[in-house]
Amino acid sequence: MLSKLTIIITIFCVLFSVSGILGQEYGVITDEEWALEPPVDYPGANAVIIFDIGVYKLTKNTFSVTRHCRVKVFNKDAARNVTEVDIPYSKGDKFKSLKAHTYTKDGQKIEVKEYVKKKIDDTDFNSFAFPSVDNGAIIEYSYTLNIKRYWNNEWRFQKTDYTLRSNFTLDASDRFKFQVTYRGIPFSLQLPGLKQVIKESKDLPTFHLEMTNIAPASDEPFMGAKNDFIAAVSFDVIEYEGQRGKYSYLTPWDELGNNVYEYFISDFVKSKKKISTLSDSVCMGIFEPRAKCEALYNYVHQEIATDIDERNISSIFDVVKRKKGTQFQQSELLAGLLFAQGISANLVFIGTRSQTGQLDHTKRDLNQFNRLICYVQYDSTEFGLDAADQYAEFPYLPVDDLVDQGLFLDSINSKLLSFVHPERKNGTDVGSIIHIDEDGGAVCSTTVYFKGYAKSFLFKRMEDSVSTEKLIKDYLDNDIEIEYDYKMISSSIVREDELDRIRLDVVMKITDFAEDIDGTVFFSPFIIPIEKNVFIKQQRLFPIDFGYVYSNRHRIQVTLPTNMVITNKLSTIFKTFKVGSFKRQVSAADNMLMIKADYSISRAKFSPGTYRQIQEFFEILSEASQDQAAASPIAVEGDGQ
Amino acid sequence: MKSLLISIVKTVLLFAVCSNLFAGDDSGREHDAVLEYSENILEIRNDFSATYKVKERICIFNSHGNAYGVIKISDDPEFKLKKFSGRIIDAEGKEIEKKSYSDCDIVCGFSGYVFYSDNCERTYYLLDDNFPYTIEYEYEYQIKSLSSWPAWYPQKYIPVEKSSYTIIAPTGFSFKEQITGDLEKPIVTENKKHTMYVYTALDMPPLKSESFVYSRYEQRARIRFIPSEYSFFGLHFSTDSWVSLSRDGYHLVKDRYLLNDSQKTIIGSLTVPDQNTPEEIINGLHDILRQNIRYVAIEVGIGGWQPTVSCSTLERGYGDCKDLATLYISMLRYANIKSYPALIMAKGKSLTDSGYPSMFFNHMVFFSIIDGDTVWADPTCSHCAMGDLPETDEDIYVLVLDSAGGGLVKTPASTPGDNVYYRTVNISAGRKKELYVKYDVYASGNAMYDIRGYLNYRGKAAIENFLKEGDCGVNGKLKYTDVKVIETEDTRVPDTIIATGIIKRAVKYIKGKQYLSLNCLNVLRPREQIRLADRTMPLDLSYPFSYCDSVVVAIPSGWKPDKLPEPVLYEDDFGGISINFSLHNETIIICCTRKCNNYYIETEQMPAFREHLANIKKSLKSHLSFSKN
Repeated sequence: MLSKLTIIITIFCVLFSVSGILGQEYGVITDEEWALEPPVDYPGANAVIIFDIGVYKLTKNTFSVTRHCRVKVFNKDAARNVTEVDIPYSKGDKFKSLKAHTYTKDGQKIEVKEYVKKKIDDTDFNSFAFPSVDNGAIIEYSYTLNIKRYWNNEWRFQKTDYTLRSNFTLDASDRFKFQVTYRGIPFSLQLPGLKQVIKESKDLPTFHLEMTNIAPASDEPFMGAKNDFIAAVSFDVIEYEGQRGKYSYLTPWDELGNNVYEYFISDFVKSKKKISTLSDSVCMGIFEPRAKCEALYNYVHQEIATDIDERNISSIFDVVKRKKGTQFQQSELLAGLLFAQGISANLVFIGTRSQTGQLDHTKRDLNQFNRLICYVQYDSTEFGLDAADQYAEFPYLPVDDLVDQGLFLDSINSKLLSFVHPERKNGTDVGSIIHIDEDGGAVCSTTVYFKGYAKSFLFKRMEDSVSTEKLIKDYLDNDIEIEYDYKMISSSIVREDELDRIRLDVVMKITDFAEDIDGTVFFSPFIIPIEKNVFIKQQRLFPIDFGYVYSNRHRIQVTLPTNMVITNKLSTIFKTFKVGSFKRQVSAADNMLMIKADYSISRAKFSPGTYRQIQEFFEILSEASQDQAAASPIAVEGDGQ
Repeated sequence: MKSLLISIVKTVLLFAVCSNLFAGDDSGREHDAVLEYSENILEIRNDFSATYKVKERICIFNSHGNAYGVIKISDDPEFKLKKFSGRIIDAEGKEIEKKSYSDCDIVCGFSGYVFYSDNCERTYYLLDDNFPYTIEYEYEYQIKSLSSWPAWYPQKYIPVEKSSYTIIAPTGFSFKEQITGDLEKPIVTENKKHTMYVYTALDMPPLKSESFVYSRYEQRARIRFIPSEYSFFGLHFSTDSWVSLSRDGYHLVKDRYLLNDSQKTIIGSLTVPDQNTPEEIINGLHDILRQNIRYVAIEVGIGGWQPTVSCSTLERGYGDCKDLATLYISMLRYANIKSYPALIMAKGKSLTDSGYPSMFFNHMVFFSIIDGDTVWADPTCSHCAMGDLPETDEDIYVLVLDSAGGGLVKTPASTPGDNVYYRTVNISAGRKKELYVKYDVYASGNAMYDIRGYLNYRGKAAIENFLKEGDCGVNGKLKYTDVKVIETEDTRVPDTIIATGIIKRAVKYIKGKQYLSLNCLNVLRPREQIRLADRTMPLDLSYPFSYCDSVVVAIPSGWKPDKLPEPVLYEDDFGGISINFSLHNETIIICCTRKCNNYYIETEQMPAFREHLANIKKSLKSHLSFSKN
C-alpha cells in the first residue's frame, strides 16, 4: 500500500502543477515513437514517457489544468505506475474530455471504458487501467480538470519513469504576476529575468518551459530531502491587478513572520504571569543562565509529551495541565519559560533536512517550514533547542534540525536568520583485541564508543530493545553486517552522558576467523569494517548529506598462537582528499599485530560534483577494511630440511 | 479473487497489525505489548446474516508496541463495519482519550495488488507517548454471508493472556470447525432457540518472527469455521464434500464461457485441420492472449468470486485470475480441448487441507486434458509457458469446478532436475591479486521463472541487485564491469544473464605459490544461509532445485597447476554435491553439481538439514594452487 500511496502522491503533485497542449495531436503516433527503444543512458527503463504536456490556465474566476501524456511501455509487468492511473481531484472539481487509449503494436486502438472512483480521506481519485498493454505498446491519455479552488503549486519534470519530453505552460490573464521558482533545473534552461513573470502579449503564454531526456529520481544513500532535488518549477501569484487596483500577494518575510507570530504564537507567550510562576519553580536554586536553560529544557523535554493532534490543545495552560502539546507548542512553552528567566529565547521556523530540505529565501512560502525551534542567546552563547525530539540532548538540536537558516518569529521584527550550531565531537571509536587460536577461530573483545550525534541512532533502540544482547546482535548483524559466524559471549551497553558518548562492549567467539592455506594463516583484522562503500551508483544527481561532520577511529590488536609469526602486516596508508582523510598505521612484532586507522569527513554535506571523490574515498575505506594480513609458523631449526 | 480470501483476511485483522516485525522471548515486560484479553463473539441469525463483535485490551510498553495501537479494520458491503469505539488509558488507569467510529483515516478502492475493490480500510490510532499505556477498543461487523466466517487466531506476536471466541447460533445450525495448534474444543450450552459454543485460550506464548516460513498461517494456533450449507449472492454452497463444493462452485463459472466472433476467429486461425496439435493450439493461444490481455484485478461485489464473461474480458483487455482462466478455458473448449477451472490457495500463507472441504481459496488456474494427460496453466503468470505452473501453485490441493463434481486434485510437483541454475564461470587471475570473472547464468523451470519474474516485475535496472541477493549465487564481492540480459520472447526459452567483473584480492601468493579460492559461486541459496539453529517454524525452500556449474580457470601465464584437488561426492536425503576437477590445455575445468530435493524442511528435520548444509560448505573449502614454471 505504501508504494501505491507514493505513486498517488507523486501523481497528485504532478497534476496540480500541470501544463499545456502545444501542437501535439491526440492519437497520432509517429513512426519514431513506434521505433523507440529504452534510452541508451537508462537501458533498464520499463517505460518511457514520450511526452507529458500540461497547460495551466488561470483567469480571475477560473482555473483549469489540461494534461496530455503519452508513454511507451517496454516491460508491462513492471510499469504499473504508468499503466494504472489515479488522478486526484477535490469536491467541486469537474473533469472535461477525459480520454485514454492503448495503441498496440499490431495497429489496434483500444479505448479505456472503465473508470472507477477511489478515495483517501478527503481526496477523490478518478482511476483507470489501460487495456491490452503488451511490451512495445503505447498508451496515451488527456483531460482537462476545472478546479474550483486555485492554489499555487509546482510542475514536476522528473517522474518515476524516464521522460523524453516534459513541457509546461502557464497561461494566465495578464492581470496576474508570478514569481517562478526553479528546482533541480539546469541553469541554462532557466529563462533570464524570470524570477518575476510578466505577460508580454495576449497571444503568448505567460510561461513556457520544456525539458528533455530526464532520468527518474531514485533513492540514494545519504540523500537528505529527495523532494528538494526533483526537477520542478513552481509559481506563486505575487500580484493581481483588478479594476479597482492592484492586489499584492507577495508578502515580505518579516510580514509573514509577524503574522505567524500574531496568529499562532502570541497567545502562548502572553500568558506571562503563570509562565513565570512555573519557570521560577523549575529554576529554583539555579542562578547560572546555562543551568537554567538546561533545567527548563529538561522540564519540557521530559515532562511534556508530543501530541500529533493539535486540535486537542487550546492554550499553554492546557499544555502544562495535560503534560502534552504539539511540537510547536512545546517550543513555545520552552521559549516562554526561558523568557520568564530573562533569557533571550526566540522562536524560529525551520524546514528539516529530511522533509523540506534547503530553504529558498526567494520563495515566500511558509510550506518550506515544518518545525519550530527555540533559539537561545545569552552572553556570547547561542544555540537552538528542540524539546520535542525525544532523543535530542541539551544543548544540541537533533540532526534533522541542523539547518543553516530559518524564519525568526517576532511580533514586529521577524526576519530570516542564519544559525550557528555548537560544535560537537561526532563519530565512533572502535577498540578490538583479537586472539586467534590454532584452529583458526578467534575470541574478540570489542569496545565501540558512539560519540555525539553518532550515538543518536542507539537511543531509540536502547529504549525499545527487549535486551542488550538483542540490541548488540542487531547492530552486528544488520548495521555492521558482520561476515563471520560468531557466538556472543558477553555484551553490555552503558550511557556515558557526561562524556557525550555511549559505550558498547561485546566479546564474541568467531569460528573460521582465519583461513589456513598450506600453513599460512590469512585473516582480516577489521571485524567491524572501517566503512562500507554504499556509493555504488555510477553517478549521482543529489547532494550527499551525512547530517553532521564526524571522525571514526579504530585501534586493533591481534595476537596469534606463540608459534606463529606475522609475515604480512597490512600496508600503511595516508590519504587526504577534499572530502576527507584516512590514515592507517600498522606495526607487527612476532605474533602480534597492531593497527591504528582514523578517518574523517570534512563537511556534513557535499554537492553532487564531489560524488566521484566521495566514491573513491569510501572505496579506499571499504577495501582497507577487507585487507588480509598473514602469519606463518616459526621455522624450527632443522625442521624439514 | 479477493472475496474468496475474505474469511481469512477479515479475521486476522489484528494479527496483520501485529505481524510485522515484532517478536520477543517469554518473560513478561520483556515484550513490547501484552494482549490482556480478546473477546470475539459471532452471533448467527442465519447463514446470510450475522453480527461479529470484537473487544480487546492491550497494554503497550514501548514505542515498538505502538504498532498494536494502530488498528486497521477492513470495511466492505459484505462485511460492513457498523460500530467502533476505543479509548486510551494511562498508567494510573485514567482515561486520556476516546475514539469513535468516525475518528479514523479511510482509504477506499486501493487494495494491494488489486487495482480496484469495493473495500475500504479504516485506520484508528490509539497511541500515546507515555509508556506504559493501555488501549481498549471494540467494533462490530454486520456480515451478509457466512462464506466469510471470521476465523480465530488467538496467538499473536505478543503474549496473550486470554482470548475467547463465542458462537451463538440458532439451535440446529450446523457448521464445521478445523483446529490447528494446541487449542481445546468449545464448551457448549444449549437452549430451545440457541446453542452457544465458547472457545477459550489462556496464556498463549508469543509467536516468533522468522523469515522464509512455509505456509505461515498454518504454523500457529487457529480455528477456522464454515457452515455446512450457506448462501452467497443467491448461490447455494454445501460443504459436505469436495465434490459437492465443486458442483456448487461450478455455478459461478458455468455461464461465463460466452465467446464473440473475434475469439472464434482467433481459434479458427490456430486450428488448421490435421495440422495443429492440441499443444500447438494451446501454445499459440497463450502467445496471443498474453500479449493482448493484462492481469488487472477489479473486484466489486460478486465480481470478487465470479469471473467476467469470456468475451467481455477480451474486449476489456484485462482481467483478474479467474477472468483470464475463464477466457482461456472458453477458447480452448471451442477448439475441442477439454479444459477446467481450478480454485487454489496459492502457497505462502495457508494450505488447503484435503480433510476440510471449504472455499478458502484465493486464486484460480486451469488445466486442459490432452491424450489423457493434464496440462496445467496459470495465465496470471504471463512469462510462464503453458504446462508450467509457478512454484506457488505447485504440489498443492486444488478444487476443480465441474458440473459433475470435479473434486479435489493435486497439482504436479517438480524435481531438482526441473529447476536448474546453469552457471558457467570463466576465471583468470590478474597482476594485482585480482580475479577477472565472467558469469553466464540461465535456468530452467521455476528457477527460470524466478529470474524472469524478477526482471519483469522489478525491471532490468535491478539486475545487479538480483545477482547479489537472489538465488543465482554470484559472489557478493564481484565489482561489475558489465551486466546484460539476453531476453527471449518465447516463454519456453530461458533468458541469460551475462555479467563480467573483478573480485579484488582473490589471489593469494604464499611461499612462491599462487592460490585461487573456489568460492566464486555460492551453492547455498540465501534462504539456506539464515540462522537455523533455534528455528521454530518450517523453512520454505520454494522448490527442489539444482546448481549445475562449470568453472573454467585459466592457468596463469608462467605458472603450472599443482596436483588437482580430490573429487568431492556427498549425498544424503536432502540432496548432495559433487565436484570434479580436470585439466584441459591451458585451463582447469571444475564441474560442480548441487541438488536439493525438498520444497520445505520441517522443524524436526532442522538438525539433520543443518548438518547437510555444513557438509556441503565443507566440500567447497579447497583451493587451486600453482607453482612457477
